[in-house]
Amino acid sequence: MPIDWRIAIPLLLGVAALFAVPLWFGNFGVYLVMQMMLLTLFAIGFNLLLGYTGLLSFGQAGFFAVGAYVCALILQQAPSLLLGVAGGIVAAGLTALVLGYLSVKLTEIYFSMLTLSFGMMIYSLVWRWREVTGGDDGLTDIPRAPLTLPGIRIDLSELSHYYYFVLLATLIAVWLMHRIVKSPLGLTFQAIRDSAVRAEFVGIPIRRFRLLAFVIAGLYAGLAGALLAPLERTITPGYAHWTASAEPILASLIGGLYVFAGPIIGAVLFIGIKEIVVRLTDHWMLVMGVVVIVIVLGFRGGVLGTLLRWTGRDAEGKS
Amino acid sequence: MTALLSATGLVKSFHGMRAVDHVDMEIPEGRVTGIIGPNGAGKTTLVHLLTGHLMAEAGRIEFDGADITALPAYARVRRNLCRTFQIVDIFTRLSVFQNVQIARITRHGRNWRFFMPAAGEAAGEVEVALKEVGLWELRHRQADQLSHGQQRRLDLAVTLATGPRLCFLDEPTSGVSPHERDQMLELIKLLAKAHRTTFVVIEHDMEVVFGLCEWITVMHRGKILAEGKPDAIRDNRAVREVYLGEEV
Repeated sequence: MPIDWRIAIPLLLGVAALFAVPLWFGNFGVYLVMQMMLLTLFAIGFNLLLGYTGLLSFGQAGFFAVGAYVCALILQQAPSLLLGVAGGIVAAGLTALVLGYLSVKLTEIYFSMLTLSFGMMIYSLVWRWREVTGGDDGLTDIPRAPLTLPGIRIDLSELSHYYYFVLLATLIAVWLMHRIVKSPLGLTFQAIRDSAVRAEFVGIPIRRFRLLAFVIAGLYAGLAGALLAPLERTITPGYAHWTASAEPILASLIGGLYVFAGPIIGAVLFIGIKEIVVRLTDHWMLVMGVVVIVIVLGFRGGVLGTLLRWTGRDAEGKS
Repeated sequence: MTALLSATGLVKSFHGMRAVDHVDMEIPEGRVTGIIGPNGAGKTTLVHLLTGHLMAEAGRIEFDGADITALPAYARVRRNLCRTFQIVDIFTRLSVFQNVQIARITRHGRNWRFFMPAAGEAAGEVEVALKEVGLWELRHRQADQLSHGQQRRLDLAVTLATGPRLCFLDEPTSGVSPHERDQMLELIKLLAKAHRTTFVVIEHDMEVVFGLCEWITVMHRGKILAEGKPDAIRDNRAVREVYLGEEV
């Protein structure tokens, strides 16, 4: 396929800028960009469910928290970052498999409410299971363990070192998600989104594919959570709360559900706006609420979706 | 001749009302069948049962020599039993091309492929299918941008792209202009020959049924009232009383 330079050049510049972030900015800037990357991972997984498969989950924070806690627990026992992150992803994926199996029996608002309930079950579990999760104290002193591969050991205790690990993980995960949505599997998800009945009558077992989308979304939430644990070094039950499930929803809505990069732009805007507003007022939720209302009402299809429409580009075709 | 599809003793009730009441039906291969009947006669419910959109409370359905009574709809599609719906049902946000493509991808069992781009998958087959229904020029258009008549044709192309041996068309001309209706009928006749697909047409429109079908089944209050060739149905006294009235 020919390379579209109008996409490739900004993309390359953006990636180059991301690699330069620790050179230009201090720890705070680096930390902020990492927050954006983690929300990006969380949101593109979520949007595979909503924008591509048509399922609105209110329980994604549960899988995020499973990833974070399992990664933290592993790192406290065995100082290997890859082991911790892999463990977090797998645990979140397995949780999503079990809860998804039950959830995809329903659709629409019933599905949303069931995922909300399951998410809050995870929250209660994290809150109550004090011996393992530390209860409301959470887990503290999570080591930012080194990256160990056979013959290699890279120290990541410096924030800027850890940044590059998160950046690589994000780039790989975003690239992989892009492959998925453009593949026959991605087309299958979109067919189910547009009409589940029609999809069944072209021969698609829709529940299995909804479950698969749910598991992939869970894996991405788990990855985001697992990467968060060594970043913050402290995690608390708040990450599992349903209000945390709203963040990927808002990021996707702000950026645009039906454009691949929508949730990415949305994640950057969400974290950016929050960071600015928090300095000006204690009521940042109020301001964020207004921003979301303006975007949802004024920019149908999100910021990116609207920009593409203004510039006359097909919202579906852009990566 | 053994039937391609045979149903015995099908029952389905809604709120205690028998919508389909012990219906037996045989559909031989290659004969265009029409199912007619007044509103609420149970025509659409019967098709829902035969295609797996609804499950029957009692009865048995055999298709191509196998018992499919308990199979879900998607599994029946895979065994080459497909349908359209009364209201156009297409993948609105997908392009015209992708609408047919997803049916071909599913036919080939390639839905699970997640790494290679879908863009070129089954492209040749999609081209043939879209040219058949005259939508190739509009292939890049998003499906919800088509006119109603075009959407009807796309709906048909998607259904046929699943490769059915038996295909139910539920009011294939509802909501289209008289001109488009005639085009649609010609198209159905053409496709029946080209694909060797056996069509069963559920219709309100008498002109459509008598112009298209070689065999007609008349339903009334959940039961089959009469079956036969169009001329015999036209002359059937019971049918005239409940359905055709004085028009014929």
